[in-house]
Amino acid sequence: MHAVLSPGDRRRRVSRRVSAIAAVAAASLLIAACSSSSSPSGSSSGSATADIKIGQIDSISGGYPFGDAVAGAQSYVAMVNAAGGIHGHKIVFESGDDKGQASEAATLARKFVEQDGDVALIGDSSLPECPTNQGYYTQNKVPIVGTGAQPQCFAQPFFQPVNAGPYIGHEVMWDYTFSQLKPASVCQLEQNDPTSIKYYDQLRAEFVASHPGAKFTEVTYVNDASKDPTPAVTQAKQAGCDLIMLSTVAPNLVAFVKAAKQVGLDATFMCLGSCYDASVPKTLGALGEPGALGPKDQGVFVAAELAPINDPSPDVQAMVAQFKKTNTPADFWSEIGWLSMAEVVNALTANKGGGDITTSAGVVAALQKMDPYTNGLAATPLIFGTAQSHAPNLGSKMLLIKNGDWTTAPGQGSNGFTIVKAPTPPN
Amino acid sequence: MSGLRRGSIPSLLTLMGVMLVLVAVVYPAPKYWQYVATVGLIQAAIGLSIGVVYGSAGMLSLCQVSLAAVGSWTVGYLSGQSGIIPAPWSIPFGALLAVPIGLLVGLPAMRLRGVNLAIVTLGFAVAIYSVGEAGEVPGSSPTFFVSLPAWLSGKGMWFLFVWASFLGLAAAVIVLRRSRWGLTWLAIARSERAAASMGVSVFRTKLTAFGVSAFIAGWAGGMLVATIGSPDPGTFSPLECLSFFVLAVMMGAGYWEGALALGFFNAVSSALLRQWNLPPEIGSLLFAVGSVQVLSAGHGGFSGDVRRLINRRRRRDEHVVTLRSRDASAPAIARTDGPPPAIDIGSGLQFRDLTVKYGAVTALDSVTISVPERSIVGLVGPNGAGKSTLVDAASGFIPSYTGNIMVDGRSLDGMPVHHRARLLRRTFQSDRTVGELNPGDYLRLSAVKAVTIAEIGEILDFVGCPATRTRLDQLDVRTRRLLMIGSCLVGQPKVALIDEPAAGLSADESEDLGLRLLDIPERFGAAVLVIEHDMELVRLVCPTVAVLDFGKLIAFGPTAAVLDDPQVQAAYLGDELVVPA
Amino acid sequence: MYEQILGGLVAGGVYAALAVCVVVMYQMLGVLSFAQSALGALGACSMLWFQSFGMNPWLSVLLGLVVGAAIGVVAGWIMARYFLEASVEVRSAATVGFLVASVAIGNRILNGSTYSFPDPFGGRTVTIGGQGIPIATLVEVTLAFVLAVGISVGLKKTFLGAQLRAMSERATTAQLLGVRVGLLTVLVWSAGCVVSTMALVFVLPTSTTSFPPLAYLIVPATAAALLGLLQNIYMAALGGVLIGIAESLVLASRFGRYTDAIPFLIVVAVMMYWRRKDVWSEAR
Repeated sequence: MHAVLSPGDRRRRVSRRVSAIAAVAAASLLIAACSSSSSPSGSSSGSATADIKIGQIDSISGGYPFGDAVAGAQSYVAMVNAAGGIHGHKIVFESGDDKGQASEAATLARKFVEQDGDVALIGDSSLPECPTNQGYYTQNKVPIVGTGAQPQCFAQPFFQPVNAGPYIGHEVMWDYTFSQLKPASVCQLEQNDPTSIKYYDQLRAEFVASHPGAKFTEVTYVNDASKDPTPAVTQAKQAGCDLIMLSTVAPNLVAFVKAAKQVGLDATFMCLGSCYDASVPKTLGALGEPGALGPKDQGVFVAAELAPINDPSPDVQAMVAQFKKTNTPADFWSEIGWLSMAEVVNALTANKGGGDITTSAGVVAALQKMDPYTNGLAATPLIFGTAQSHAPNLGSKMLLIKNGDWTTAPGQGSNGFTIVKAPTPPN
Repeated sequence: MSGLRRGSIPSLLTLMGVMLVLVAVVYPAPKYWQYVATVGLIQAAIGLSIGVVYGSAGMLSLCQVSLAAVGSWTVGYLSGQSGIIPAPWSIPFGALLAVPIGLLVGLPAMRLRGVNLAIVTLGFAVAIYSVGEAGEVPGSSPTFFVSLPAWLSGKGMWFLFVWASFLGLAAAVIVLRRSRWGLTWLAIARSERAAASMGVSVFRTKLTAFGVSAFIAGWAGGMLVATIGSPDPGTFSPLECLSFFVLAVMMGAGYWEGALALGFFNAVSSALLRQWNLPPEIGSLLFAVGSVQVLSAGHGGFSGDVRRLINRRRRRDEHVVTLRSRDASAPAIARTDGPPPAIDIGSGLQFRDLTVKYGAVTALDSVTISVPERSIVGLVGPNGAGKSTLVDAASGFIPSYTGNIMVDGRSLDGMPVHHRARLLRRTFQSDRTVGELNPGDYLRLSAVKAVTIAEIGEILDFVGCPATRTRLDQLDVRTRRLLMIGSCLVGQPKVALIDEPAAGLSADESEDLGLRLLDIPERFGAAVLVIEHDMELVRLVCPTVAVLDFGKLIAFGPTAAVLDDPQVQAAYLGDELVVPA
Repeated sequence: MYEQILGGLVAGGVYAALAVCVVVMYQMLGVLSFAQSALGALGACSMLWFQSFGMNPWLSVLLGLVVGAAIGVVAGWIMARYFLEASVEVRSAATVGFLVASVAIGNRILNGSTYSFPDPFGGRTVTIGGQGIPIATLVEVTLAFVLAVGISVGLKKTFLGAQLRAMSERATTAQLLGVRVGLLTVLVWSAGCVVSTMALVFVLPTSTTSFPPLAYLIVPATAAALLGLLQNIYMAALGGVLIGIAESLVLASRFGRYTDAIPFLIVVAVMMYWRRKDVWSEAR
C-alpha cells in the first residue's frame, strides 16, 4: 500500500527529483549544443564526393495516414544509392513529423534548411506545410516537390505538387459524374476546411457555367467527418441525393458507406483520391459492390490521383517490385513519396541547369530548366519549371470497386486517366 | 508600498539574471536554435497565464491555451488578413481583446469550482477549437501570412522581442503576485469565505485573475502567429490544452521560474526528439510517465520543490518561530464583576430578535444580544446551540434571516460580506489563514486599505509574532490562530468576533491568549464577542456572558452569576447531573 | 427532424454509457478520468487482433472486454499506488497522462488504413418509421440505463456497495476499518474500463477508425456527467443521449460547422442554473 514518508525521506525524495530534472536539463543542453555545432548551417560545399541532402516533412502522429510517404521516398533513394547515386553523389535523406501543427512544421523547415543544409524537400505530405511555410520557402528559394492539399499549394513558385490535388480531383469527379453516371441529384459533403470551401464554390460555379447539363441540387457542408457519420448520411437521405461526393480519408469513407446501409440511404458514393487505400474493398466486403445499397447505387468510386498499385503500367510495376524488396507498404502516400523522388532524381540526373547539384542553387537551376517528366503513375507529365504557380498533374483515374478489388472505371481516356484542363488558380 | 517593492526585488533580480544568461546563450546561436528558443519562450508565457489563474488563484481553468488563440486571430486579422496594423503593434490589441473573452470564461467560475469548472472550461476549449477550425472568425483561416517588419527580421531581432515580452510579462506577474491583487488571488484559492470576511470581493478577485491571465495568453498567441506566420487551429486542440495544463501543474507555473521551466522543457524535449528523429510516441509516453510521477509526489510541481529546497537551506532555523509572551509589565485590565455595562451600544454590535431557520430546523430563535463598544462579551453554549450560526449571520453568510443586526448604529442587513468587513471582522474555528503568505503579507491583505509598516508592526507586536519571512504554513497552530485574530484587528473594525480561539491550546497558552484579548478594546478600540468552550478563559476575559441553547438565549449577564445558574449548568451537563446549589 | 433524432442516438448511446462510467468513477474513486474513452478504445482495438485469427465476432468482443479489464487493472494499480492521498484535481490531472499515452499507442494501431471491427450484430438494423436504426445502438442505449439502475441498486443494497461508498467518502478511515481500499480501487478502474470498452464496441464497427476522435468522446461524456452534477447516474445517461440528439439536430442546421460547441453550451447553461445558489466555495 502507499507508504507514509517521514519528513527526512520526503526531503531526500524531493531533492533527488529536483537534481534528476536538473541533470536531464543540463545534459540535454549539452547534447543540443554539441549536435548544433556538428551540423553546419547553410548549404554544403560542392565537391565531387559531397552528398545531396534531402529532407521531407510529413504529418504523421496525431492519426494522419501520411506516414508512408517517407517509406516510399526512402525506397527510391535506396534504389538510386545502390546504383551509385546521382553522378556519384549519394542521396542523404532525412524526415520529420510535424504532428499536424504549424509551429512544428515551421521549426522543422528551419532545422532542415538552415541547420542540416538540405537542398530540397521531397514528398512532403503535411497539412500545415503549404500555409505555414510558403513564405519561408519562397524567401529562401527552397524547392519542394510533394503533396498538395490546400489552395496555397497550387499557388507558390517553389512548391510543385505531384498529385492532382483536390481541385482537379473535384473537376474530375464532376466531369465523370455528369458524363458517365448522370445521377438525379448530387450531395457534396465537405470536410470543414475553410480555405478550400471558398475555392470549391468558385470552381463549381465555373463548372456549372461550362457544363449546362450539370446540376447540384444540394451542397451540404458537414463538420469534421471524423465524428459519427450517421447524422450526415441522414441529412443526405432527407435531401434525396443519389450520389454522395466526399473528400476525406479511407477510414471515413468506409464509415460513411456502412452508416448509409444502416439508415437506408440508397446512393452512389464517390470520393477524392485521399480515400484510396488498398484495404478498402476488403473492409467493405459486399457493401462495396455496385447495387449493395440499393438500385440507385452504382458503386463506390474513388478519383485516384495516381495510378493504383494493381495498374499494369511498367512504371507502377517497377515501383511495386522495389517496394516488395524494401518491405514498403504500397498505398497512395508511398506512391507520392516515390513519384516525387523519381521526378527530382530525374531532373538532377539530366541537370539541364548545369550547376552543382549538391548545392541548393544547383538543384533549383536543374528543376527550373528540367524537361517534362513522364511516369505511368501520373496522368500528365510533371515539371517544376519557372512559373509562379505549379499544378502539372491534370488528371485522376476513376476507380470502382468490383469483385472485391479496385478496377479502372469505364469511360475514361486512353491511359485510363480522366484529364481536365487546368483550373484557374485561387484568388 | 515600500514593503511591496522590497519583497519583489529578490525575485525580479533573479528573473533578470536568468534572462540575461538566456540571451547571452541564444542570441549568438544559429537561427534554428533562436527559433526553438523563441517558440519555447512563447510557451513559457502561456504557462505564466495558467500560473496566474490556477497556480495563484486556484481555479481549474483548462482553456488558457484557447485564449491565446484569440490573440492569434486578432493579430492574424490586423496584420495578415487586412493589414491595418502591422506586427508587432497588433500584439497588444490581441492581448486586450483576449481579456473580455477571458472574463466571459470567468463568469462560470463564480458558481462552479474544482472539476466542475474544469469540465466547463474544457468544453469551452473545444468550442473555441471548432470555431477556429470553421475558419469563419476573421483572422483564423490560414490563407494569409503575417510578416514581420524589416527592423524585426534581422539577426535575432524577433527573438529579442519575444525575450523582452516574456521578461516584461514575468516581471509584471512577480509584482502583481505581491500586490493586493496577488494576495487576494492566493486568499480566494485558500478559502473564499475567509477572504470575503477579510474584506476581499471574491467576484472582483476572480475577474482580475481571469483578466490578467487572458491578457498574458493573448499576448503569447499574438507572438505565436507572428513567429510562425499563419494561424493554426491545431496548436489549440483540446488535447494540447489538457497536456499544457498538466505540464504547467508539473512545473509549478504559478511561479515565474516554473513557467520558464515549462518553456525550456518543451523546447528542449521536442528539439531532442527532432534531432534524433525518434518516433513521437516516445515523447508522448515520456510525458505520460513523467506527469504521473511528478503529480504523485506533491504540491507546487517542480519549481515548488526548488523553492522548498532553497527555503530549507536558507532558513533551517527559522521555521520554529517563538512567540514573545505578552509584556508582563503592562497591567491587566481588571475584569469587574459588577452589574452589566450601560445599555448604550455606541459603535458596538447589536443582535435584535435574530431568527434563522433552515427548513424545519430553527437554528436561532429570536436572539437578542448586545456587545457595547469597547466591551468584551462571551458567548457560550453546548455544541449545536447556534453560536457559529450567529457569527455567520453577522458576517453575512446567511442569506435570509428575520430580525436585525446592527453595528455602529448601522444595519448590516443586505450588505455583502466583503462590505461588512469594514465594520465587523471574524475568525474561523478551522485554520483559514493563507499558507503561502508570510505574517506581514497576510496582515497587509487583511488591512484592505493601505497600511504602514508601523501599523503591521504593532499588530505583530500585539500578537507576539516576530517579523519573519517564513510562510504561515510553516508556523505552528497557535501562531496562526493569533495571526488570524491579528488579521481581524488590522482591519480596524468596530467589532471583532473571535470563534473558539483557545481550542487545542494548553492552559498556559490559553491564559496568555486571554490576557491579549483583554487588551483589545483599549488598544484597538474594538468591541469583542468571544465564543468559547473553555470556561477558565471566559471567566478571565469576559465580564458579561451570553448563553445559547438550541438556538435560544437562556442567559445574559455578569459571568460569575450566569455560569453558576442551574439552568445554564443543566443545559451543559444535563438535568440529572446538576449538583443542587 | 425525426430521422435526425433517431440518428443522434448512435452517438448518444456511446455518450450515455461513457457518462455513466465517468460519474461512477468520480463518485467511487474521486477522480475525473479524462482518459476513459481512450482506454476503452485501446481495449476495443485489441479485438482487431483477435479477429485476425478468424474468431467468431462475439468471442472477439468478449476477449476485447478482457483486455479492457486488464488495462483497467494497470491504470487502477498506478492510481492506488501513487495517488491514494492526492486531491481530486491531482488525480484527474494524472489521467491526462493516461490519455496522452493511450493516444500515442492508439495512433500506432489505427494508422490510417481501414479496419473492420468485429460486429456481433452484423450491422443489422431495425426500421422505425422509415429510418433504420442499428440494433447495436438500441442495445447500447439500453445498456447505459441498465447499468445506471444496476449500479445504483448495487451500491445501496450490497455489502460491496457499502464498502465502495465508505471508500469514496473517507478512504483513509475506510482503510483503517478494514476496507481493502487498494483492491477496490483496482476493481473499480477495471470495471470502468470494461464498461468503456463495451461502450465503444457497439459503435466501432460503423464509426471511423482513427484514434483521436475516439479519445475525444470523453468531452461530450464529461459534459453529460456534469448534467448529472457528477452525482446522478440516470441524469448522466439521459444527458448523454440528449447531447447526441442535440448534435445531430445542430448538424442539420445552419450552424452545422459548430457542432463541437454543443456540449459546452448545454453544460454551461444547465450548470449555471443549477449552481446559481453556490455562492461560496465551502459549505461552511
